[in-house]
Amino acid sequence: MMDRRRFLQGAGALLALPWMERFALASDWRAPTGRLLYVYLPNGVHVPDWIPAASSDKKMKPGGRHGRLPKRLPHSLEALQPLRVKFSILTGLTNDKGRPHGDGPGDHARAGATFLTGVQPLKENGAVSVGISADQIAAQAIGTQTRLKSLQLGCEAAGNAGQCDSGYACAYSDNISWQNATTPSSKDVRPRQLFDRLFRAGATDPAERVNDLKRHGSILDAVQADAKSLRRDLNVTDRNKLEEYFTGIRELERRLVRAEEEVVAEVPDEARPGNLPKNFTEHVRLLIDMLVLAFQTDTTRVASLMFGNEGSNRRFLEIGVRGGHHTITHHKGELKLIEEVKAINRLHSQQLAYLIKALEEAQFDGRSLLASTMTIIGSGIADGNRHDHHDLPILTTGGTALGWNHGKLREYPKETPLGNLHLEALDRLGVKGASLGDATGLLPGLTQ
Amino acid sequence: MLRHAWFPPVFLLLSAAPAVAQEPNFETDVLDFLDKHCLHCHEGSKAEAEVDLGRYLSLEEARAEPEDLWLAGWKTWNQAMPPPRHDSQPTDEERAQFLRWLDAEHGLGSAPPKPQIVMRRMNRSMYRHAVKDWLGVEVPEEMLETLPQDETGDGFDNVGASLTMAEDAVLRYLEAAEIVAALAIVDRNPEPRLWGWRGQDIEAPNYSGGDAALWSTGNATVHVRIEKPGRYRLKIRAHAQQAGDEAAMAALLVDARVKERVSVDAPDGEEMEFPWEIPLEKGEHRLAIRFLNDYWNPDAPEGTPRDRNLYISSFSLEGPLDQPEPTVFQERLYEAFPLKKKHPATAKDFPKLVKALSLRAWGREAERAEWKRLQKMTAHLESWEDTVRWTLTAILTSPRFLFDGENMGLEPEALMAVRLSRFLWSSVPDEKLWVMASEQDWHRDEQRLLHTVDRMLADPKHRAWLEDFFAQNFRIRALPNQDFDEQLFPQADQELRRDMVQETLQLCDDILQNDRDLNLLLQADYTFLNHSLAAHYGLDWEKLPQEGSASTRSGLGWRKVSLKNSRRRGILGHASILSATSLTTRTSPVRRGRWILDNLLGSAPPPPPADAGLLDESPEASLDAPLRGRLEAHRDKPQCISCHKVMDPLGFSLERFDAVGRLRDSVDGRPVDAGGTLPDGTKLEGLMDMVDVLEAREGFPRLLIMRLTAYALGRPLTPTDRPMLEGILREMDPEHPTLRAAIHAIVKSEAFQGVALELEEVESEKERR
Repeated sequence: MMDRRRFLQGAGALLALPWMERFALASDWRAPTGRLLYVYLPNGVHVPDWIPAASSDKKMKPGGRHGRLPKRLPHSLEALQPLRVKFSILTGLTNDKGRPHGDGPGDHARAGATFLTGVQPLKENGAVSVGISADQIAAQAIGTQTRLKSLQLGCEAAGNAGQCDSGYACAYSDNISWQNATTPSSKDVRPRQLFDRLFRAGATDPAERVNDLKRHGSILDAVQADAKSLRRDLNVTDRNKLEEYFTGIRELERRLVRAEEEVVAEVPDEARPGNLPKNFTEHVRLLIDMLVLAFQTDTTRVASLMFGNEGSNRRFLEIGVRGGHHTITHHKGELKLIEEVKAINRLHSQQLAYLIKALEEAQFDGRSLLASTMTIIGSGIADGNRHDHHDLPILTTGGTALGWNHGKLREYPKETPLGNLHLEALDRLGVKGASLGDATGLLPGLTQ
Repeated sequence: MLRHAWFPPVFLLLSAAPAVAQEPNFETDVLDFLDKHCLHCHEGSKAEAEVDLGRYLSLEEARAEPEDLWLAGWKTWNQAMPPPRHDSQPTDEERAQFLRWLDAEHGLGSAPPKPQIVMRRMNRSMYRHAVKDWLGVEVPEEMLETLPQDETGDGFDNVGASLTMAEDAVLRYLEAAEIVAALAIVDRNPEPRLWGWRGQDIEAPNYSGGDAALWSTGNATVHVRIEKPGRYRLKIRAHAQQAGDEAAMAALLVDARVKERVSVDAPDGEEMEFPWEIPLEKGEHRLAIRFLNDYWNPDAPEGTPRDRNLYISSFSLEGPLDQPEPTVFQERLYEAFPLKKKHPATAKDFPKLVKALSLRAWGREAERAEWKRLQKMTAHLESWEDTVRWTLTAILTSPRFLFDGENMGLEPEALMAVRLSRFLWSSVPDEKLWVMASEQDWHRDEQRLLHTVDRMLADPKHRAWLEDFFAQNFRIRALPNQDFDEQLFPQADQELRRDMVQETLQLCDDILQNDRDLNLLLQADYTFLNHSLAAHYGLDWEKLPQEGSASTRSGLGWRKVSLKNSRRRGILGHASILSATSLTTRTSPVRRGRWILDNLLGSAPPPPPADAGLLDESPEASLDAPLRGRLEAHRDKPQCISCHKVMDPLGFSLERFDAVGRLRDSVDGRPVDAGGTLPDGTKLEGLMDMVDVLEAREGFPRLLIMRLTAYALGRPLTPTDRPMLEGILREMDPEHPTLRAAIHAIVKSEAFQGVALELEEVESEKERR
């Protein structure tokens, strides 16, 4: 395992690839490559121990108040203390569509579904309809420049069909990335399979990899011809249905072409992760490693990572927390349970620190990846005990090469839509004038 | 659409179509009905749910009201459990008349556009079963979970419109197909190969007399690249120079891991051979012998050996020793399609192979253009296995496999086979079905059709249907993943929760296989238990009154058990439903009540209003007042009471069962109160009363058959399906409704058969283009 980590940290030097040189040459005059990363923390946080106290001395302005982060961060963020100048905490952001608006219970499903969409999800018998998510808007705009348009990772798989939270479809809790209103983007949970898919095209042997690419190509040709002949048999409704399949074929072909052109990054075997670890920390770190590797090889520039599905009831036995995460967030003020929630929050923060460091240590274009990666971390629920969707715990990091600045406590007026932060990131990525759910405009002040 | 309107359209189907009678008159009949039965709650500024029905003086004013409101009204008066009202209930005739008016006025019964069958992507369950039944391959769980997530429409995961494909779904299907193909067709190994190393071929710190010499610590190592994974025989010849009070010890290392230790205890210079069998994966490997116990004693007395050394004279490796067993599927293909050519795809029987495979996967034989494509794709391959694997992969990735055959131009005979297998097996047709489907109009022969259905229901593959239909219908499919508080319910682990679901499915199967009355699902005074469930129910497994052993289908360790002396009856006494409707720490009478309304009476109440608030769940609160008291205080708000008045008494009657379905006499130190009064005055006390109430309401078989029909068709029913549903219900014996009769009626129905019409539509549409 150490081998892989060491490799990842020094990978910039090891990855000597034609396509990288191409980028390296260009980087002198080119605008920095922008990247967008979302990290989702399920079940909210214990707010008093996570969000720093408000600075009461200054008057709230429409653009928000932007002061320094306090010297001592709240206990739940302890692990991030040494990285204090590298991130900011945003308060006052609200996910209004996470509220019931007449739809009754199901705050967890709504929290997940609205986090990147800002659209109230449809609650009807397990049917699914929400909206495209911010990362997928980015993927559609800049994703074609890379082999993968985007990458979705998570520590928990998207489950089977059914209702997960008070009549809402499971898809809402299991995904934050939505390709369109009805289709969540596929999420990867297993680091090794992901590695093989990204860097081995399924095979561990370089010679076989080329064969695999060829085989995939020729199988695709055959099935595409099938699909075309099938299209002629279908009526209009079904042709639309089949269109989803064609979209998939086209996307896959695009990847294959790129893979052939780029001679898929020569990532050595040391970087290949082992089997799926049971332990949360190991699992999430492997996923982070894969994420960094995918960014570093410019396999993709857009990604999302869910520490767990929203409403997750994962047990963190490794830190002595026996109750399920979701269950104990409903602590009703019981101190023992609050302590356990805080312990999970701290464990999460440790992984965030790992992520920030990993992004910082990895180089691309002669910069740290962190500088080019706008990273937005948070939850669609503020306090798991109260199920509230205002004053969300939101942390931003990275993106300094694109103008973001850090080390700040950014306080925004109450009820500022969370979507405004997404729009601001999209704008900086070059996606101008996008619209997203209930977002009303760009969030100001992130460069301050 | 009003988000909170209480009327999923399906429910409009629940009661029988009103008989033809005189058109009701708005000014007299309708206003009179509203006056007598609705305005009590729905009038003026404080009208319940903000629905004020007292405003209309004329038909025009009523018409101006949004359609949703009237649909909700229809729903209210059309359900098995009439609205909770204090004053007199309308007569059946009054009720029918009001419904008729709604019907006529709002077109609820008129003939609207025919609901379309949408092409369906296979769901995960279908994929898994199809691959298993056809190829004999179990799709690995980690593969299955990367396939697109299935969504439900109307509670089932087989509704076409809800099954979408993400952009990289095709890639996931392609990867899954490759893995499936690799499991279905395994590689034959070449003849075992032999490798040998001696002298300087062996990496060692020293050499002596042509042998690798280990004088102190260190390894003698060889490297090998393995192409075919399998078992290999490794032989090592070694000798030692003995000294000290033990023999030379060596360890075998494979890829730096110690596999075994041996003692090289022959006298000096005498060679020993150590054979091992080791499994080796494909790739580079390092095989090594490590010397473990160096001994060097310069002070040893003269004549006593002072130095212990180990010498390795040779390594040899042979393998792979094992020939992987060809799969059953593979054997059959070898026989039928030997493809004896240097390039198998050019063999004469290749097109036949493709046709045979595509018939099973697509419902029809590949056409010339299609097998030609596959021939071109595999023309360069030299091995039979590769050729068949590539072909199979392409067939499994084709949309003709991944979409379910509906609307895809299949012959009606084949489409019927496909529909039946999807409905009853969640799978693809077997060979017998295909033989049948090759005969023209086989499915128009009713006797044959029903005989086929019966054969399919007798096949163990119908368990897929039990799981996919009943576990979803009763909302218990997710129970194994529903966690309970470990401190309070340590026994309710995942395994037990799986058993709970099994109990319910076994009862469903029993009722199916023995043609018992559907109502027995609610009333059965027997059940099926295994050892752990019996213990969970507090029953002594050894002394259980046994009603014969469970059917062989139900599996080992399960028994049919009489409940005559127990307080359990039917599925409401099953731990599965009692647990699935509970919270992690306690029962929820509200959820249980809602479950009964939704799944047994077909009238799910709307979700609570936004300002409903939550119960005070603190430990102090539960000490102060029992759950019932707290709930009553909470629900007293006018916007809550109308639903809770129905839900709560139903739910409280199950309070004798705890959150994981165990019987109990007290809750939080107080005796259980399982009593309640329904809005119409019916008093309930415990499960037995509930069973009687449900029997009297008669809504259950109708609801179950309605859901079964929706499941069979793979689409939610709409009000326009009512005549079809009535037709299905008419086919059943009202005194003894059975699952088999329902399945027969559904399969015979025009909606299930409705091929001719749809094909014509497609044809005519094609012409238009």
